[in-house]
Amino acid sequence: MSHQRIHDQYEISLACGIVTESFGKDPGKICRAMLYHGSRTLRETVQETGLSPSRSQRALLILAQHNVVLVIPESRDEDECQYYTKLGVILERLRYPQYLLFAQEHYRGSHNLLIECLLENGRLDEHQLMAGIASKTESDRIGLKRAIVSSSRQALAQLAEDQLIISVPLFIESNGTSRSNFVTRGQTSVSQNSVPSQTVKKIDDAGRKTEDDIKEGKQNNLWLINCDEFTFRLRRDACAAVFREKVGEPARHLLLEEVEFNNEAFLLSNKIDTPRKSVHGSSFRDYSGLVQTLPNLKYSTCQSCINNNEAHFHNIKLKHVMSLVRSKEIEAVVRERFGGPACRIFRLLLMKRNLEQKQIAEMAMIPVKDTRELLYKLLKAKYVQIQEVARTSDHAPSRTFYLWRVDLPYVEEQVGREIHHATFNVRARLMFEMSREQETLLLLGKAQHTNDFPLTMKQRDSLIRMKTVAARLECSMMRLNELGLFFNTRADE
Amino acid sequence: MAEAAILEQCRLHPEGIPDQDLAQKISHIPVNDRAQAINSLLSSRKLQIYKDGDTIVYRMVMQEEAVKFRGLASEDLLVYQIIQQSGNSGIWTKELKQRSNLAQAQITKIFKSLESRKLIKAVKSVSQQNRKVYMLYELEPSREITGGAWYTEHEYDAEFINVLREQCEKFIVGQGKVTLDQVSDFVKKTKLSHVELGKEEVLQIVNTLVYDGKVDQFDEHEKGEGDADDAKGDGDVGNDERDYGDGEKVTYYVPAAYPVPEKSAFTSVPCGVCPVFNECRPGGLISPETCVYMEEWLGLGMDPVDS
Repeated sequence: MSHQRIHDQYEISLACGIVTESFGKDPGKICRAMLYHGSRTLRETVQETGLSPSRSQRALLILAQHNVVLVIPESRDEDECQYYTKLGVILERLRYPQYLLFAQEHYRGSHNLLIECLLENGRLDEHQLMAGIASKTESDRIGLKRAIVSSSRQALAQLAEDQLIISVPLFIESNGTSRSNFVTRGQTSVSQNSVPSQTVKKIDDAGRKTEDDIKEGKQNNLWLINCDEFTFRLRRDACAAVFREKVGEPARHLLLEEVEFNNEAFLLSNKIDTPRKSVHGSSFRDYSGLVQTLPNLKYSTCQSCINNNEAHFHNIKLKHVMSLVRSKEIEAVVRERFGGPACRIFRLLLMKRNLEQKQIAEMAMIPVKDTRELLYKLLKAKYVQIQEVARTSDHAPSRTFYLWRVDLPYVEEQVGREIHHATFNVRARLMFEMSREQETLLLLGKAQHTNDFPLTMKQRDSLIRMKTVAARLECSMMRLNELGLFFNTRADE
Repeated sequence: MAEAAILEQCRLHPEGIPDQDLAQKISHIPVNDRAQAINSLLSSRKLQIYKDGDTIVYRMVMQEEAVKFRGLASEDLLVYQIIQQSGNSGIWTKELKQRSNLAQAQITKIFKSLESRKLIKAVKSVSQQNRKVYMLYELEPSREITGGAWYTEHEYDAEFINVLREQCEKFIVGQGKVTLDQVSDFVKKTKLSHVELGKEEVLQIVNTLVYDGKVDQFDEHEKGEGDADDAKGDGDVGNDERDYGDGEKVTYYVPAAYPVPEKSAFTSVPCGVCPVFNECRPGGLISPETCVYMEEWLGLGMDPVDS
């Protein structure tokens, strides 16, 4: 059964803030309208944002170029294209630094340049991609540039094979009935918000295209980052790191090998609105030798991650490891926020499901008065739920059971939303700190051009302080994003 | 003469003499005289009458007992008997009122009288602190009333429990893998408690460690050690439904392999533990820009070098 995740205002504000910061105010307005109201036509977008049609078109173009806006082609019922966006796709942009770090860790040479180029420019054809890499190469020597471009083609093939980048046709089939597209190669390119002029495309007024465009599109597939694959790999590495920390290095290998073998990776990006596909290999593999070296694993809570059908056949499922990490993180949050006894109650309810207040107090060995207080605190924060089971139709409290329970999937979503809220707050604070020192930063920018630094001691102190503060805030945002890898897995579903 | 004969028979049977036996023993006394004598002895509280099944039994009131009850009215005795029947669980005033059919004021008066004579005592129940129950003075209140080992003078002894929990945790961490019996023995040996703690009490303590995520619990079947275990740490119920045979199931406790993390990335930022997190919005009374917790966390207001 599909699960509709409700976004809260902070998540939407965070997403809009990211879009505004990356692409400007107009795209930010359009994203806000789409996130609040769902898919919009160009006409509706113009009405709701108050932007002129040309500005709306331009903003949509930029967003489409960067895979933020997707298109529902016109159908028999609808004579206009619908544009829509997904919150998760926008928030994924927060993980771009992690993508780059991942690429640096796993690849050498031109791979990083390719990924950097695609992250900067959204979707590019091969020609544009090579041009982008050449422009990034600092060397003036033509021979060296050619060599880099040549190696980049190999890197492109390898990244495509690893599914970290995918190619999509310029023209998208619409349900197999009509061929339609929302971008055509524009003759008049409008450069805005750092989008390279050669990559800017134009939406034609009616959203239609010519046969020539279609042929050209078929020949020039566009490359884009496969965010699903990157996210999957980041999650897998994060889970493996947990296994290494808790059980040991062999366990990390066990997890990585098993995940590789079962390959639960999503092959296609959600950004092109293609149904997700997964490839499942056979489920079990002989790890008898390896498991014998893992005595800790045997009795650990990690055992729940292992489906032990026969004595020496094991299978680790990534989703189980993720679920384990999620619940541990939630427990840590409960303990930090409400104290150790509250964490005990939370875990007790997780284990025993439905319990009455008196039972909880007895089992957790906490006085009834304190138990009641903690339960209501947890209820207020939406970490536990209460269920009324009336014995009589008048629902008299004296004849009613009040059962407490933890709805873990709901709590996971709740914590996911809170993580986004915290990211929003940290980001807002970072913006505020930057704006406080804007004048000094402008001065510094000017000074860098002239190689003259006319800053007073006070300004220098302010800059040092801002640097420290910014580093701390940015580091926290990164850590929150890493934690978000385990949560927010269903933000778009 | 009849009274003396009856008392003599009762003296010969201190545990009580059934009505039929008594009738046989003093058959020479007419029935009416016997009845009168018994009534007289009962009213002068020299004789006690009670039922054993369907049989009526007579017993002589001991001298010291007779002294205790001297001067008590029949209502007082009725209340005393009802309290006596409730045993060490005691009886609440309301219930006693129902059973005795006496007025509240009268009951209160009788309670005072019996308490001053040290015949009954009032005990506070731990489950309902404002409710007093009455029981015979010489009885020890039941576990339900006192709360058991975890209550000292009707107060929940949190400190004592914490000490026990800490010591049990240390023991499990030190030993690596223990059974409940071993923990129970340890508690007994170390004499951590003045009260004798049973297995149930120790299990309660160890369970709280499991709920805290400090200790994992798993069952192992003694037959074929190691190859047939069923981890259930964290309360995860696995899909594993293998048949383990008839081996006896033993529960083991081990230090948690994956305890609750000390810190989380979320709680490392002030928002993660902020009490007004849900009221925080940009430009609001509580906002990220003016947040005092963030100021403190970022070391603002301090010397830049120090921060």
